Amino acid sequence: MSDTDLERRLRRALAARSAAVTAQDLRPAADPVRAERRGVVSRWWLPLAAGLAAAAVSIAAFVLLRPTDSVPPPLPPAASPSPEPEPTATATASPSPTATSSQAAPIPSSSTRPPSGSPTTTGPASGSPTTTGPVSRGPTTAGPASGSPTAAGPASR
Amino acid sequence: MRRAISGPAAAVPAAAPAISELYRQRRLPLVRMAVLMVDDPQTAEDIVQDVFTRFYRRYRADLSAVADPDAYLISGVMNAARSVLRRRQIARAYLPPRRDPVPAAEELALLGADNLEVIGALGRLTARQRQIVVLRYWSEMSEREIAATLRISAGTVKSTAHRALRVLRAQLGEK
Repeated sequence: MSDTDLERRLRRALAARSAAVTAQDLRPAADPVRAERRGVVSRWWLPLAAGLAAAAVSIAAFVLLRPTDSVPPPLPPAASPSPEPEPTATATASPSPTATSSQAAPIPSSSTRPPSGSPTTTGPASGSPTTTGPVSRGPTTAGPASGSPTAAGPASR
Repeated sequence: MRRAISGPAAAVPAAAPAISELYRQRRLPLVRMAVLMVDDPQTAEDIVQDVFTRFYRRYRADLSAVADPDAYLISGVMNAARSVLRRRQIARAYLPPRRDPVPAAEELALLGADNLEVIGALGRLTARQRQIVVLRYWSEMSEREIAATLRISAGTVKSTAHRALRVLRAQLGEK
């Protein structure tokens, strides 16, 4: 086969193959200007709008669903309405000296209960259950009434 | 002074076609050329669309910035088709060998057995050889034009075309 024959076959085959592709066979496609505009919209504006919408939904959900009752700050000890600690703690029959820790309770005393006098009487009186009645009478009896057998009072003689 | 410089001589030539007009005129011939390279109309259309999109992103509508838009597009299509062929070759290396597909009856009737044989032999050339054969025998470009389009030397075009014709002659069973 001469080069001319081969080249002729080549030209004929290439022309036939390319002629098999017609304009009707092509898929409809936009020209690059329109395709680029659409690309700009899909690449920039759609994500931006989606981000703004998500942020708006998050802010709205936070505003609507956040707890409304806020916890009040703890009151300072000086601001308690009653300077006296709860006297009912002295009525407990526990002989243990840990009952004195109830003095530090910040529970305010009710207004219906009359004040029992000096707050210094409640400390020693809580040690003895039998002396709870007279303990509230006076501050001077608080010392001997502590109920301790080793106390050097007149009752020990 | 500014008015004198930016006069009619500095304006964009009115004869420069817009990119949309160029797309309408050149899309089908470029798709045909890409089909001759990659044997697949869908891939060929994708190649041409990508080349036009890149062309527009780079130059926008100002075609006066390109000396020869047609040569630019041909070069872009050829390079993209060569990349596709290279990727196919790499993928084929990892696949089990298979027989050549039997041509469809419609394709056989449309092209003819002889033309199909030539097209099949074209598929066994390297990508560079196929580029040069298509540009030489379908686009009817000279060796110098092919060299300018593919950015290779004219000697490379000549030697590659010679080797391609030798391979084709051996493939087609003619001495």
